[in-house]
Amino acid sequence: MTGWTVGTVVEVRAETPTGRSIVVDVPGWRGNIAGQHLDLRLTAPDGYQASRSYSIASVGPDARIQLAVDRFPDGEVSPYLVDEVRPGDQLEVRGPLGGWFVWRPDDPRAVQLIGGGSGVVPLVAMMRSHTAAKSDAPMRLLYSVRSPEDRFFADELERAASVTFVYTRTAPAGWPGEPGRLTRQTLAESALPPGGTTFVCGPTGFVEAVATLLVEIGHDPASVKTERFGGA
Amino acid sequence: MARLDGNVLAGPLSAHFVGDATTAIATCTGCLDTAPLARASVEITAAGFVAHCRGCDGVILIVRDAVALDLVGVEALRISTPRQ
Repeated sequence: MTGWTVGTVVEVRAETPTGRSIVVDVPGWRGNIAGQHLDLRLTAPDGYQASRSYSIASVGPDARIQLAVDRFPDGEVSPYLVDEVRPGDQLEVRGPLGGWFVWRPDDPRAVQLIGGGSGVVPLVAMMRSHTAAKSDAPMRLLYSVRSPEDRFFADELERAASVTFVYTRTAPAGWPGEPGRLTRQTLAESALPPGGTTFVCGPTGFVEAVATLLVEIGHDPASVKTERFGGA
Repeated sequence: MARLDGNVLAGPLSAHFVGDATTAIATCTGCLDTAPLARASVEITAAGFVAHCRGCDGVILIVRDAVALDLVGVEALRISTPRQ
């Protein structure tokens, strides 16, 4: 396992009104599999340290890794990453981390991915891994956001097959039905049936609500892996 | 605060274990629920990361990154050889 190391920001890109993606070059990065995260630590001039975990959107051996961060209003780390960080800045990171909420390309089982907001990040990594490996395993993504502009990696996900968007506040023009939360009906219509593996990632309230629904419609709780990252 | 999943323990536990500890399977002293640490319900507090049992919400372990690990509620912990 690794300790802390220093990476250099090489690119930042706005993804949503409150979020951005960041590419960091981490010398010596041993690569990561889909779903893994890193810890990122900030140190203030007075020595105060704060660290948070961020899922990695990229997969593979490349030393350039991609994160995506949503700004929490009272956050200690995310406001800095979204509003301040520039190419050339250095960040202390530790990773790759995690062996549970991961998808390996040799896994033949059907996979349903369900993400809320920035919870889509590890799921995007899984889709990228799936594509790169030319996997035959069925894989679908249900992505819940407030409005179309709140989608991370919107272009990439719009071009991908097997992605269903759920809009909770504002839907695009011409969208069938009213905006609203992910429901049992949406799961029945757009998600894979029980029997495969399901990964759910997002704010705690979202993940808990979705996990409850999944079990109610017949998913074995042992087949549902969750990554609640706090927040609402 | 809202709980997080035990996945976040991976970094803090890396100072105390070799390999990924979140796939280690812990048995709760309180209710004997047995599950990977990744499934624990975690609070971040001033004392460090406090992992609660999914079954009874009792405290399973408390970890302060590179400082201390208290397996206060671990009846048993089974760690498998990391996948190569």
